[in-house]
Amino acid sequence: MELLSLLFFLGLGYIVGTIAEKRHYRSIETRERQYLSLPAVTIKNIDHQGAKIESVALVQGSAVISVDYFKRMLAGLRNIFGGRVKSYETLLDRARREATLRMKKQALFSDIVLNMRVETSAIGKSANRKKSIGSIEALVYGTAITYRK
Amino acid sequence: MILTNIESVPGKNIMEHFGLVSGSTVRAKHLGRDLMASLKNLVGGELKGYTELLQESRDEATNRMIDQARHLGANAVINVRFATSSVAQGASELYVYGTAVRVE
Amino acid sequence: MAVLKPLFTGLPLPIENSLKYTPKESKTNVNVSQFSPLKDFFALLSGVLGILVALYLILGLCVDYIVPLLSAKAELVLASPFQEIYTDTEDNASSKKLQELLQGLVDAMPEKRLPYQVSLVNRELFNAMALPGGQIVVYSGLMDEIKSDHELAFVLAHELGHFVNRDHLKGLGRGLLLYTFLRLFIGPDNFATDFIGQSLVGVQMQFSQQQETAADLFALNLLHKRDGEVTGAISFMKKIAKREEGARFLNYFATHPHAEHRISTLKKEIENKGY
Repeated sequence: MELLSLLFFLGLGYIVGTIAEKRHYRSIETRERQYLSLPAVTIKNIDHQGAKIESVALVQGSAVISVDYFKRMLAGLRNIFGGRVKSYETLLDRARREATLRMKKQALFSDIVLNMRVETSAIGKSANRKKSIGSIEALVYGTAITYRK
Repeated sequence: MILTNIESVPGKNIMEHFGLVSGSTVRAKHLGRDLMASLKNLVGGELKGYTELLQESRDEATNRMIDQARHLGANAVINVRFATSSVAQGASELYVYGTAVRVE
Repeated sequence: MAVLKPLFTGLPLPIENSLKYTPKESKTNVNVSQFSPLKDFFALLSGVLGILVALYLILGLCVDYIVPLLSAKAELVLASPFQEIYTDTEDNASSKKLQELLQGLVDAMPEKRLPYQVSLVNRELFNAMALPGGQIVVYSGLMDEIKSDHELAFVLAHELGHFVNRDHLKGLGRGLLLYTFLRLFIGPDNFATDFIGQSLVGVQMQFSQQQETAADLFALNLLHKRDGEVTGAISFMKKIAKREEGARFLNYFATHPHAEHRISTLKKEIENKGY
């Protein structure tokens, strides 16, 4: 019985998780194209080429993304053998890109985001344990500069 | 590919930039190494296995970032930063990001 | 007084990047590996299972090696927690009959390592078992159905066979091993524990089937030694075969081999020895 419920959750996690991930990636890609003209960079000092500065603001975006049951199990197994934990890559990638997009949404009318920084933290201390939620939070922040037009 | 963690590439002029590039990776060591590390923890000292693990992860993440920068047509990444986080026990997550630029 | 000139003036900043932004879209995602999660999953899982089964088999062989070295005294000390499992034992004509049957069988055995006892427990189960320390438990469910002394003697002799082969201790040792193993290597609350535990139980059962066959053969020989005839063995097995009908597919996970298989093994032995 326990084996059956385990298989059920694995299957559910795999199917629903895969669909949700595909959908999320599609949405990320469309929005990234939309915000392509707004650069976010890690450097601080740029020549504003004489442009008058209208406003300066701290902008930030964050996202908490959780991993599905199947991928968590896959990572647990991978932990035994060592090597690249591929199943967590999409988790991190999605969280950071989503957070970046949310930051850019805040800076929608700005011209550039300077000194951007990315922080990642795991929520639920041991993300690969059964009872905790295997999820991470990505926080992206920077200074948005808007020129007077 | 030139990598710096300052705002410029000394001796070169930055012509244009392509925004943020980043590389990340999650890696784990096999169970034997984990076991050895927890034993070593009793007496202290360098955990060679884990030093190696983090170094591998950092190299891999850096290579991924360089790949991305190359795709964009950049020849340098400036103001590079490293970040480490723990997604899963016994696994290390490395994140490296910077600004892709073209220098001359 | 001269004013000290600062060595580092700081501002204005020496670098002002004159940057032109060229928006470009990255065609590939370098941070995500392309791989088939399902394939990876099954490869890893079979790897884990393979290693665990191999380790378990090796450790199991160690248990089998150590157990025969255990003296009767040590076994009795180990067995003390098992003495008090059943408090609802019956004391009547049936239990006396069992005791007498057992005595007769024990007298025919070449070595009496343990103080063998039999107790009748009031449960509706068709079963009997060997507990550490030389105690045999027979459930009343079995007692009610088996009337013939020859057949009962076969059941008792079968359990004695387990004692002689130290199967009761091996089973205990392996059970303990399995438990420790899962706790130690996979952790008590890991989701993989259930899955791997189930698989190892399957391996355990295969072992147990071999032990049952050995106990059957021992019982057959003991019966022949005592009575000079072995009719009880086959007729008892036929009763089991009747009960088993309709539950064939459970073979792999069963502790005992199929009754039909056991009958054919017994018949072969009878033929070989000329009983």
